[in-house]
Amino acid sequence: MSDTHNKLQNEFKNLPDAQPPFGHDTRIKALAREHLQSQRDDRARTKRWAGGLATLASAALVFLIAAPLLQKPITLESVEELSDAIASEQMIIEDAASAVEPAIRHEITPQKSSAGGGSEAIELDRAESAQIVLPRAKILAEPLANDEADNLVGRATKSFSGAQLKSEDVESPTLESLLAKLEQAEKKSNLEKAKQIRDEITRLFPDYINNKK
Amino acid sequence: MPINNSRLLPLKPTDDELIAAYAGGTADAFDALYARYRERVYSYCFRALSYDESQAADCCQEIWMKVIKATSTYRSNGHFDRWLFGLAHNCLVDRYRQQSKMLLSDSDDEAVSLENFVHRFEQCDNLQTALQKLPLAQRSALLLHYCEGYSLTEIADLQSISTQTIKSRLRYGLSKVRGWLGEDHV
Repeated sequence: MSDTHNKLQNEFKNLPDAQPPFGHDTRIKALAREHLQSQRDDRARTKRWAGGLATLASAALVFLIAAPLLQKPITLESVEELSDAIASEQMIIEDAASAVEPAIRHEITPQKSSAGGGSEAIELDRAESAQIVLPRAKILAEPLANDEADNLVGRATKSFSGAQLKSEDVESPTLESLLAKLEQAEKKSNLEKAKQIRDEITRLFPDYINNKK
Repeated sequence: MPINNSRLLPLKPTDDELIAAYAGGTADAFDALYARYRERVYSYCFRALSYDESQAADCCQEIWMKVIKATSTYRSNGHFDRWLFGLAHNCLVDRYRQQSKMLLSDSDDEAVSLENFVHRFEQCDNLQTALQKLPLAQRSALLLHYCEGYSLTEIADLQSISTQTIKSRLRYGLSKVRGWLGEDHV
């Protein structure tokens, strides 16, 4: 097998051979150099384009970053102030809620001791606390525009008005309050109550009755 | 613009090193590579293309142009020669197809057809003429195996076909040549 192979190889080696024609090598080498040069030119062109694009991109980036800063400068202080304002607002809400809550609870919860002789003192206490709480609740809750705060203020107002009427009874009532009570009693057709109020007015403000007459 | 050849090459660079150097911009690297393979590639084309010098020169130029363009994408694996002869084989196949089309379209040209016909039935008295009568696939396989010294696996690799196909091409090619020239001759 190897003899046959060698014989065949010799036969094939003896086949006619030829050299590349004159100028063939030079042409191919020139083509190789030309290709190299064109590749270099392409690279340089790509580099130029890439450079231009990078410049544009960086300019765009700078503009994007700078545009908001030019409109409204944001500093660290302002950010801190903002966060402080948010925190204080939160505190105000909490304060309002905690301040109003006890008074309301006090009003809503039925007082066991009110049936006895200490009812007047309790009513006074309620009125005082409501008088303290209401303005504070109003001041604190108004800017927040919070439903919860509004609700609390409403409830506090109710408490205040109820307690005020009662406290006026206990303390020296004014002529206006007595007249208002009288009007209310007449509206409700509570004659007995109206008579009592009239007596009270006569007792406390005799001048008013005389003037009226 | 002058081409920069300032990069120094190793004393005995491998084919892959030369290709890499050329891809990196060293023009001399290509000259060295070309000098290594110019005769082998030319001989292969010359013998495969029926000893037509002008066709062989054209085919060689085409092959080397493909090499030049593919240097940047060439994957170095230590088998540049196989890759080169693979390119050469593909070029030969393309050329053969083009010629076949031309022959079919020029069927009115009686001179060409008659020459081809006579050539087919011409009496073979040597290997040179016998090879010309073989189909290109068998001729190429015989030339790569017996002239260039590639094994069946290597030929299969460079032509991207199975070893079995190469084996059968060689067997059929040889049996035809023996049939034309006689057992004693080959």
